[in-house]
Order: sequence, then C-alpha cells, then structure tokens
Amino acid sequence: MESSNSLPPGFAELEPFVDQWAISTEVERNRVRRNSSMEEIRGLYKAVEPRLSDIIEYLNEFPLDDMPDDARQLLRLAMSTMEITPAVELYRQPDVVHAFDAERVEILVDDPV
Amino acid sequence: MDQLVKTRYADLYPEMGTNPIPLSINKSPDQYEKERRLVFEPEWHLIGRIEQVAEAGDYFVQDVPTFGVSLLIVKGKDHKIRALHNMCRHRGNKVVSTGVSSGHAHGFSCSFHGWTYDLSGQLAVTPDEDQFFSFDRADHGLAEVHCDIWEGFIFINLSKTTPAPLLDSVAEFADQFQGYFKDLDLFAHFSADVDCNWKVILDAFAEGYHVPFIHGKTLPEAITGGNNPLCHMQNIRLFKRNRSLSAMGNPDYQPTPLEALVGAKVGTPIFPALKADLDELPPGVNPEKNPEWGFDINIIFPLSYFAVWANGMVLVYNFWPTGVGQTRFEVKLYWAKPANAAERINQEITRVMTVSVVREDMSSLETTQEVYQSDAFDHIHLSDQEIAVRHNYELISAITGWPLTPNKN
Repeated sequence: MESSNSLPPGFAELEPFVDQWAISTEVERNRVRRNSSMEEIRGLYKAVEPRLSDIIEYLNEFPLDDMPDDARQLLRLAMSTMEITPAVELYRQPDVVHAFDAERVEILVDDPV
Repeated sequence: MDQLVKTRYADLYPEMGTNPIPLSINKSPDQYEKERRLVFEPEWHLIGRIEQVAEAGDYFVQDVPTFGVSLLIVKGKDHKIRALHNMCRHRGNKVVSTGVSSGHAHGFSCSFHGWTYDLSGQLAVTPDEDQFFSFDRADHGLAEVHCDIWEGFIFINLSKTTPAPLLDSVAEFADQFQGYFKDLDLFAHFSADVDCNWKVILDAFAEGYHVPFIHGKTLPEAITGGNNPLCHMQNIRLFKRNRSLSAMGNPDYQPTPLEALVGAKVGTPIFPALKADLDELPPGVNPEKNPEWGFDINIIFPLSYFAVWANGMVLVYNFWPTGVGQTRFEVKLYWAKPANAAERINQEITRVMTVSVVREDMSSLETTQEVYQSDAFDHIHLSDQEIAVRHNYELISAITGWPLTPNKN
C-alpha cells in the first residue's frame, strides 16, 4: 500500500480506504460496490459519514477541473461513498434488491473525476 | 395534498373507454412491421440537447437501432446543427468510429481511405481523386437526415420523404415550456437492450401505480408518503397524440442521513418540496402549480419522453424498438453543470439513486413480455391511474387498425 500522504492533511484516518475506493469512473465504482462485502461497504460509510461535511468544505475550495492530486483522491472517496450509500441506508446488501442486471446496462457517458 | 384531483380520468376522457387491452398487439410480428412503417418511420424522435453541440465542431453520435443507423449530430461553422449519416460515401465505413460518443473536430476523416468531410458533411478531400471516374466531390457528401430543434431539444426524423413539421409533433407542448430549459449538461447516459415490446417499456413509465411497490425499497416515502400513499398523479393530460403526467413530492419526506447532509450543502436535494416561485414556471411545468410538486413526465409521440424534476434535473428517454419483442432503452440525464465539489457530489448521489430507480423500473419488463408471449391470458386490465397507458394503445390501434377488442387477433 502507498504510504501516508495520498490524501490531504487532516484526512489521514481515511487513508486505509484509498486503495479500494478512490476510483475515478462511475462504471468502476459500481463494479467495486457490487463485488464488495457489506463489511467493506459499511467500513467506508462509517469512516466517511462523520467527515463528509469537512470533505465537502475542503473540496469546495478547488475548481473541479483543477484539483491537486490529494484533493482529487478525496473527491474520489466521496464519490464512492455516494455509490455505496443506498447499499447501506436502503438495501442492506451491495446491489439494488430487485433490479435489471447491472452488467447488461451499457454506460455511454462516464466523465472521470 | 387535499387538492389532489378526485375526478376519475375516465370521466374527463370518456373516449378512452374502460375495456381490457388485448395482449396480441405486443407480440404480433405483422403488427410490429405495421408500427415500424406507420408509427416509427414518419415521426420525429428526441435525441439530445443543443448544449451537447455548443460550439462549431462539437459533435455527438446517436445510434438509432430501430432503423439500423448511426447518426452524427454536428454543429457547423455556420452554427447550424445537422444530423448526418455516420457513413462514408466511399465504401461505407463509419467516419466516427464505434466507441466514440462525442467530441470536437475540424472535420471528419474516414480511417479506411482518408475521405475527409467538413463540418457540414461536404466532401472536402478525396485522396488520389484522379483515379475516380467523372467524379464531383459535391455529389458525395455525408447524407443528411431531417433535424430540427424545439426549446433546445434536438429531434431527428428518418422518413424518406419530407416529414410534417416538428411543431406538429410537439403539438400541444409547443408553447408550454418557453425559455424554461437552459444550461443543461449531459451528466449521465446509459442504455440496455431489453427483451420486450417497446410499448411494455413505455407503459412502465406512464403511471405512478407501480411506485410504492417496485420502488418500495428505493423511494419508500419520497413521492408516495403523506396523503398520497399510492402515488396518484396530480394531473394527467391526454392530448391528440402526446400525453403528460405530473407527480407530487412528499413534503414530509425525511431523507436518508447522507442524502440530507449532501442536499443541505447545495440547497437542491434529490426530492425537494418545492419552495420556488411557482408563478415563474411556464404552463407546461408543474401544470397544477402545486407547491408539493415532484416531477412531470411528458411523452411525445411515438418514442420520446422527457421528464422535468422539481430539483432542475431533466431526463430524456428513448424507447428504440428493434423487434416485436426487443427494444433498446436509452436514458440521458441533464442538469446544470456542477460549480463545485458539493454540487458534483450531490449530482452523483442523485445519479446513483436515479439509476437504481430505473433499474427497478426495468426489472419487470422481460418477465412481462415472456408472459405476454404465452397464451396464459389474452388481455390486461388497467386502472383509472393507468389511463396514459391506455391512451397509447388507443392511439396505436387507431393508426395501425389493430382492434382493441379482447379475444380477437
């Protein structure tokens, strides 16, 4: 694992989640969500939830298209947290409970962050 | 929500009747061929927004599988938006390759033999031109398709003859949205090939009756709670060929913890109870001017759908029939471009929730078609809240001559 400072100062406790969840595209965030355990998903949620307000305040200081690398990693963690939020808050399982197969949905626009 | 319409829509639209609908109309190959010829081919189809081609040279590709074509929507140096067949006039290769969905170009060069077209589709460069016979470049531009714009929405028409004007298709919607749609950025776009008749998909989005059930896990309270537990529409309008439905939001909805947190940062959460000045909305948006408005669905005959949400999001759906039991379903989400991280993150949770809801909507389609294909039943019953579904069957029946009488094929 990359050591120490891939996230901005003040967010060090989220460092253990970077490898799995700092993901730039929606396709990949959704794939990782569907292939993760609820323990992993809840781990991310529990770690980010109390800091999300701070994360948003911190990231709001930068233009979206010109963020330092460490801030961008933090944004990616926040984006993955949005991806897994319904799994924790609504479904209590990784994917939507009764839905059309995600693998059959072709994503045609996926702007990386 | 006392103002909820208590009238029966069947009384407002007595010509719709209340008979059961025969299922054969969704499984007959002959009927499908008739629909293709009489319903899909002559009509206009909504495929995008002008913001997708804001500058001269901006383009996007739109596949239209119903007609087996790939189109190139491009803004020329003259600032005209054209729809061109994405097919080189030499040997037919695509000039913009499969897999590229949008971009910015000075012209289009075919990767096969280098024929190059300008932004209006005119052939500009033909390598080794002397080797062709009595060749005039002017005769070999990219073939143009009918293309027109209404309220910033781009429509195409693939009929071989001059079609009726787009305004005839937009019809009753024409002056209902003046100036409302602007600065809409395409932020999500996905499609899926679904094994069902196109009407089965359209039916799934033309009523709110399914909401508390199929969306019970994802939208437990947002649009069905309070005094409207069964998601009655506050307004259903059936026009000559088009139709619209207006749904309320639940002002007492308690968002989930992260929805609430992110929504509070931007002021436009996913499911707002609208506090904006209702008088500023044009007639077509929230037609009842209800402060508890959630969203509107507008269906432009035959295959186009646009929805307007109280939070400013606009959704465009295409139901592209590809066979009697096959449809490509395409979804485009538009919203103001996020100005900062808070708006980007709010857009993302909204996108995730929307995709969840749409995948739930899609979950019943193939099994429905499967049962229709069997001979288990020959007709279905529709409630008063499903009158917009009935409207489509009445319309298709009238155009194609397919009798809407049970027990007849």
